[in-house]
Amino acid sequence: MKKKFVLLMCLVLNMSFLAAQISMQGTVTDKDGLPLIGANVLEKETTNGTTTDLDGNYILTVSGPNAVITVSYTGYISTDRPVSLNGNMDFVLSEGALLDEIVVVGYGEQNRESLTGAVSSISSVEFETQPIAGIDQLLQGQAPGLVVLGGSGQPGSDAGNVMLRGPSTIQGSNAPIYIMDGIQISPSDFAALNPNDIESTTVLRDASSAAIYGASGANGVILIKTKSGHSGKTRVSYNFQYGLSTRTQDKFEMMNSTEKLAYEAITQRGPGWVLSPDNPANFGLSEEQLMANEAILDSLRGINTNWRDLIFQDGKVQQHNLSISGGDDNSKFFFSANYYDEEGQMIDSRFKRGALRLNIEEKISDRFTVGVRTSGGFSDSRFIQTENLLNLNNPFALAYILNPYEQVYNEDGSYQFGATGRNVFEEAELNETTTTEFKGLAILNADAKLTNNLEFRGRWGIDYTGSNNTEYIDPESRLGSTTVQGNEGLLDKGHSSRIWMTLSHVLDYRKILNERHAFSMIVGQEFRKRHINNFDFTAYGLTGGLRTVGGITEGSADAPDFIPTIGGGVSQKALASYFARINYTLDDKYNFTLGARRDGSSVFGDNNRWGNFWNAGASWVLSREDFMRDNDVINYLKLGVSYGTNGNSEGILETEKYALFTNGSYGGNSAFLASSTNPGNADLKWEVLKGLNALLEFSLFNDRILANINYYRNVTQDLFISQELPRSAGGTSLTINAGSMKNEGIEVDLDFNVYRSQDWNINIGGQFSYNKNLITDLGQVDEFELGTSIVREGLALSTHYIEEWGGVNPANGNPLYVDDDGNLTEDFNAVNPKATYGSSIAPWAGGISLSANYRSFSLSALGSFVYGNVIFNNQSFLLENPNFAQFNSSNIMNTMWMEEGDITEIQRLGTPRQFTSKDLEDGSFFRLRRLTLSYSIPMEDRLMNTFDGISVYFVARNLITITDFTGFDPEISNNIAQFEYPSSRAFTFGLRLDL
Amino acid sequence: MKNIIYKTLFAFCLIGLIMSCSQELDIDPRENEIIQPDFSSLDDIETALYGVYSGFKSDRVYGEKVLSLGEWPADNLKIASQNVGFGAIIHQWDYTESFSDMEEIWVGIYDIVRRANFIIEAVDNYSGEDMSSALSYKAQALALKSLALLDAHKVFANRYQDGSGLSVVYVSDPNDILQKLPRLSTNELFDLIASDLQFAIDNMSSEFDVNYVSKAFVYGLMARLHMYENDWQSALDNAEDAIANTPVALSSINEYENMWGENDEDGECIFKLAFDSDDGNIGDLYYNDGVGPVFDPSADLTSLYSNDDVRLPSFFRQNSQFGLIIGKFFGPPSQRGLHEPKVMRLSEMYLLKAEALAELGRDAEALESLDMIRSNRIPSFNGGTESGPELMEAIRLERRKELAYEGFRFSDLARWGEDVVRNDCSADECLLPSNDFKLIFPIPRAELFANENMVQNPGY
Repeated sequence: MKKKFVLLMCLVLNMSFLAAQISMQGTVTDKDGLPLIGANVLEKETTNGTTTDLDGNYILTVSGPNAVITVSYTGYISTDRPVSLNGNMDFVLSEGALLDEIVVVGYGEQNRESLTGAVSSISSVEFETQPIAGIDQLLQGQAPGLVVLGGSGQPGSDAGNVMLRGPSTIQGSNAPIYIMDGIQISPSDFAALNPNDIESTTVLRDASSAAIYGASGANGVILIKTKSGHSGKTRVSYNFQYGLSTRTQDKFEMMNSTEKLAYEAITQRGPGWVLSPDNPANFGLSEEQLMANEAILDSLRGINTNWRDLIFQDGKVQQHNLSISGGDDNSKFFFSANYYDEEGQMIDSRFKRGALRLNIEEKISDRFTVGVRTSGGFSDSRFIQTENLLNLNNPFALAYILNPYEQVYNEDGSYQFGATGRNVFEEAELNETTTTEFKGLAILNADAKLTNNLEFRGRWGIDYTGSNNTEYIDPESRLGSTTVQGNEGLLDKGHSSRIWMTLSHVLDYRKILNERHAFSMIVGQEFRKRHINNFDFTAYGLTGGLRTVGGITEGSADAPDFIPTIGGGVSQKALASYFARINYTLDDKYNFTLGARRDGSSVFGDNNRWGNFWNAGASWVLSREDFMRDNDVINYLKLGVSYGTNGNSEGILETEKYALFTNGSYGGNSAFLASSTNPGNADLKWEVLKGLNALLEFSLFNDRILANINYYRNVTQDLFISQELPRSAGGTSLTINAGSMKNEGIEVDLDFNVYRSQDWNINIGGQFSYNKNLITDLGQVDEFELGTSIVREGLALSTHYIEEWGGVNPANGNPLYVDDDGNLTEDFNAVNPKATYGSSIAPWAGGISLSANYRSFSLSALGSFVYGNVIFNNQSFLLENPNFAQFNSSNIMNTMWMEEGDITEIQRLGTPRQFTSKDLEDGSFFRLRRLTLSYSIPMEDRLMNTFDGISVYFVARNLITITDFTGFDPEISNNIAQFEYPSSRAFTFGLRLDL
Repeated sequence: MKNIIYKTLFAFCLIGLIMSCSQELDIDPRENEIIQPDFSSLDDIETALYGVYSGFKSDRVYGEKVLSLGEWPADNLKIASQNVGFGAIIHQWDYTESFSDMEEIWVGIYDIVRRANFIIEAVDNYSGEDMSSALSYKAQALALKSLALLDAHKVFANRYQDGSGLSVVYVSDPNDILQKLPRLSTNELFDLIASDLQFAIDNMSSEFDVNYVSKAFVYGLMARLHMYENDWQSALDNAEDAIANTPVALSSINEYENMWGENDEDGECIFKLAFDSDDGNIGDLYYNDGVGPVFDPSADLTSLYSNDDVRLPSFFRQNSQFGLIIGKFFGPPSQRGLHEPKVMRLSEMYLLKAEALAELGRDAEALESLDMIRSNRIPSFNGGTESGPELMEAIRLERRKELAYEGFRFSDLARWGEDVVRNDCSADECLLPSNDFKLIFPIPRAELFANENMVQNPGY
């Protein structure tokens, strides 16, 4: 291990970090002399640290005589002290606020107590124990009001849906922005970043806190800080995980072969009908021939292929993460290397990532520091191209609809193509779809102390993502020889690159006057530019057996099917901003903040290019007042109120301001065609969110109970709406600013230290949010339909809009529908859709966490839930529909109406299967996301002469899901369930070594 | 203290230097790969002019709707038994304001108008050297705009009473896409179009290319315009000018068949759209080679031709599977149905001239003009003798026979105040009385929704 580390050190860095290291030891106790177990003992401003053992003892080697040790413990006031030279230091912690923690805020850091808005810090400790590729997925259930739905369970995919405090826009994205080390990064392709590198994550939930990000902040802001080096002993940490993932449980059963063949005989499809004696075509057959048919049917009944077991696999996941950090007084570094390999639940689905990071900070003089934070990640995935769609390209649909009497291979060993004409195994063997992606992130920073009070901070960043997609369809495959243009296979290759460049400069002034007035001010400027470039081609005629460009057939006028199709595009946009903020604290009790930002975006035309945003807030720490000082119950109490405005320009194109022309031709001449679908709107401007936040924060009973409660009311105005145009003026529709939407809600964050003793420490946390979303104005219209939902004034966004199901008429088996007056009718056309079923966006959401420590064991759990949402289950349209009886169906179809008096929910054969409220289901669920059991070998163990820490842990993910939803997985990306790659249940073993 | 100030100033200067980036927000459209014509350049004006021509190729206009809305509701065809409902709404007069075809042709027309207005505006602002080219582009744009508006009039207004009846919208500004313009009266609209056409005549080059608008075509449009308003003297004058300015002669019996079916020759065409293989197959409106007949020829029409009439083999084909089919736009073997829409032919001008002369009571001249057509279509024809109402009837009959399936019939019936009578009928309804509101199509709901100054046609 040591050898490895030395080698790595040589490879990575050429730096000296010699220093006189000092070994410190001592005890950490409370005021009563009781030892505090598991208290954090850290060398200040480093990641060098340890925890106390069962007797409250610690041993820590610090970098030198100038080091400062910070001791912290949940519910106690942290203490900093310079090391004593005799090597022995005991700490006595007094119980007190957790709240003097420093939190990262926009363009700076702030004491938690002085905040005026709703800001959540998310611990990254658990990030390291979990084999999850993307950062966003790790934020599930961690901050009140932040709802993260996994969406596609495809290895390496981003979270399907990240939303803070409800939807704030109709047309655009509702995803918050992500700021890493001061630079806004693209809110996608997180899988190429290594979550193990994260030190802290902060969520700016309220409009006032986010307002310093002005035009980009309307959906909330997530600030991510990566780990840094420290002076003192170089620390090496190696973390290994290995796990298995399986699919979560279905809540429906498919037919077996006997049932399916009987169903076919009724629905008059497939071999069950072809061979049926009831089939008029067989009426003239002899007894022998009928017997032969029956024998074939019997043999089919004997085959019961469990397609789900075949097509789904138990995936393996492993991760190796090595980090090395260290440095001296002037130079600090953090290095990490990560390898991640995950096999999905679907055959032929796999994601691999390698990622490196190097963060360096160099103190050039007492006043000047420069640094660089870089990471590079390369991923390679074989992915399932079609999911979350009701068609035969989606293997998740195939896993269900393939008939149980069909098999993978024919008797001669060739692939069998059943009723669907598809064979997943053949496609996995012959065809492939791969994506390789490189993401590079480089952030340079320069910090200069111009005076003792004034600091300049510059950040220059590049966020690059380049990806290559290849799809190969073998000419020998069924698809390649039948459906593809030219019937000789296909090769599709595409490349896209996206670069974000950011320049950010801030002046920070801090001053305390008369020990009462604390001022801090920033003014700054930022410029961001995005460049996207992509191209692709699809070529045909892969006749030579080559899977590469060399294998394609060049098309010609005589072989037009082989002429490749070529596409590509370039786009750019830029954003320039100026901002300022003042914080003022009086007597450590009264906090005020005032900020403003001005943003200009190239997306908008000259008329409305610039937008101004501002915020103000105040908070009052009542517990610092004399009248509260000796309160035994309430240790801490703060009230705050803030107001801010934010913008949004996502969801509209860079070209929206232009009257677009397209390319055409006439008589061999090229032609400019003015486009009626993009007539251009030079007056388009930002969507503006105006948000009010009220904050109540308190702790009770010696900080055993901590609570943070927020009420908010956000109103988005000037919503982007597609307006219908007078067609006579030459346009059809235009995106304009009209309409408004309101989100109002309450968020509660609770922490409860249930029990603590010499051996035990048990904490329970919970965070809950309720959001009421309401569309208040749509401009030109009162409502418009959007897919199967309606956007209507007075309703929540994504409200389902569909005809009401009234059951099946027992007399004749016809489907019944409920009309406006509540009467049952068989006439579907006489029934209007209703908007009474609720929205697919859940009003209630939250998470519950538990952590229990006993001696060296610790158990932690995190569960999250959404409640009150309704999902359109489109899967049942395929699985419960006699029109698709050639495919396997849900066994609920065995209850189809057959004769008068049958009481059932399945209408008789031959009646049209309409989309109705029957397809809507409660999408609420609770999911035990994580259960972690870990054991750290105690400090006194002999092993610990070599290692600073050894721990083993076991993690179960998605162990339990409680839901009434009968589809695949309630955790979907949008409002409609149609065989999306489901989340997996994973069991992981991990080992962490520190030295 | 001074030190602090200097350093602060220095820092601000530093920031200020980097901050001068607001011009960086002016991203050149080319960097986003979008097309922004430079309307001060004659080359770009010309390229945009081809965009106006290209607009007519759309399914919304001559690629389908001008023909389908002109023929399907009329009496020259019947629904084929193989047709599962394609075109049935139009054929059976079931259209309402929300019927999508209404919006499609309306959008198609006003798309063309806006494109033409860009050219007109650009030429009005043009200050370059080659003014005569610029003016000829404007002349073409005005002619094309007039064609589009007259077709809109034909579909959405047409029935002329006293000129105060509502026609369609006339738009001049291509930039204000929010403008909510009202319908003009027929007189108001026709005055504007007539002055546009006059400008076009004065500035059009005298070259003739059948795929582009020419002086002859503009005279022809002027003749159509006056025909719609029953100004028969002007219609006559312009039809004569159109004939005089057309460098080709009326197609003879021998030449005629080459214009139709598998062939698609220019023949006597005054203006014919240039279609590529990826433009629509107008033949598919009647017979789709992959599916079979959509509409069969009605015996009401086919019985009108004498056996030796060259139009019989030109317009109809015997199909071994389906019997007699409409084959006027049958198309080449490589792409059945591909046929270039013949927007204006000399035959139409002779027929219009005949109609105008008959309306003016100049029967002998009218008969002469009518016989030009008949003698060039029917080998056995030996000259007509009709006069008075009989002559008028013969002219209208010949117009039906000559222009069948080219998009004129339904509007002609409306114009003449005649019932749509289907004796050979496979539809649920076989008679549309001449006073029925369905003889004019409804203004599309999308326009009414967004334009409160818009007025619907009566009945809808």
